[in-house]
Amino acid sequence: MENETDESLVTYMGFDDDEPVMAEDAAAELYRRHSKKMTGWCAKSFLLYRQNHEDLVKKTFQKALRAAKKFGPLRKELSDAEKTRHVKFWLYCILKNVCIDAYRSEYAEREERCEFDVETVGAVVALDPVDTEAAEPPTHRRVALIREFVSGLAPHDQAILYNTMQFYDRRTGQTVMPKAVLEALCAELGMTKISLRTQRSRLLERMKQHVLDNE
Amino acid sequence: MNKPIPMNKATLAATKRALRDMMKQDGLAFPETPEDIDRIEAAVDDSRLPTPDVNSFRQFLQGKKSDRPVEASKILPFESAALAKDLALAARNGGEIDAEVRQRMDEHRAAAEAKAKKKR
Repeated sequence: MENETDESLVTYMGFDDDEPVMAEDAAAELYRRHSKKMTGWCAKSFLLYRQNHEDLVKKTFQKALRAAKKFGPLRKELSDAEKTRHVKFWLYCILKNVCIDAYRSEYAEREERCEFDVETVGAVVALDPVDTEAAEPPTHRRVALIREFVSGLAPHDQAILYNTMQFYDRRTGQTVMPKAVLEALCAELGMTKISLRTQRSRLLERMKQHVLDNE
Repeated sequence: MNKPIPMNKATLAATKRALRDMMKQDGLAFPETPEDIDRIEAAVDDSRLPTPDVNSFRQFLQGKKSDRPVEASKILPFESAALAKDLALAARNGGEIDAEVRQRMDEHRAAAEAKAKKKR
């Protein structure tokens, strides 16, 4: 398996039902190649800071093994490097879902303990209204000003912005967060949902003002 | 149709877009396209991380528990409250630990380690 490309490994993984040993070998090789970087990124990512990163990455590759048959063949004209990039992108997308699921199961467990309705577990919370403004790409200067502003914030405030903005949708301009993740974030930061939303709005307003003052 | 807002006027929506772009550039956001992968990986320093344990991953796939022993807490519970009090006093005083306390500490550690081994 060591000489196979990432795309071939995913193809082998797709035969999990008929050739489980071969599929598992392919998953193990893919894990050997990419899990270290992914674990390193988890440790850096604000969204995942409360989780066991190694377990999250293992679960990601386990899910990838189950889902590999749905991974369509990549365009032939892509280079090997580009194909590897696509495979890694697919793995990171699974990682994001694994992370959200981890928060959801934690939330479900909490709700079950409190005998609340677990039907609400999959719910989402919109933190912003839909943005109707015609979108222009931000300038380098503006991005640099934002970086300057955020680097001057306390870690607590950085955590609010980074965690919520993981769920920002560029097309709608809306931040729609899974309820379980929002709950976990509030618990971690010792805030209520209202106080978190208020603080986030304040930070965004201050950020806007910083850009207006310096642009 | 919405009228485009001039670039020199920062709005809240434009600020959020810029923040999201900053997170993307710094490898802090989940990738949105395959092209973001290089940025993410460049931002990660994995030199201090251990080599992936493929055997443990295989065991995970098969639903088995890892062979790796569970790391014991570095703080072992004291068996005797009186002993704990002495040791806490020695730590608070901050001076050298006298021979008698040191001996008791060593005995206590040896007993705790033996107990942990038995459990395994």
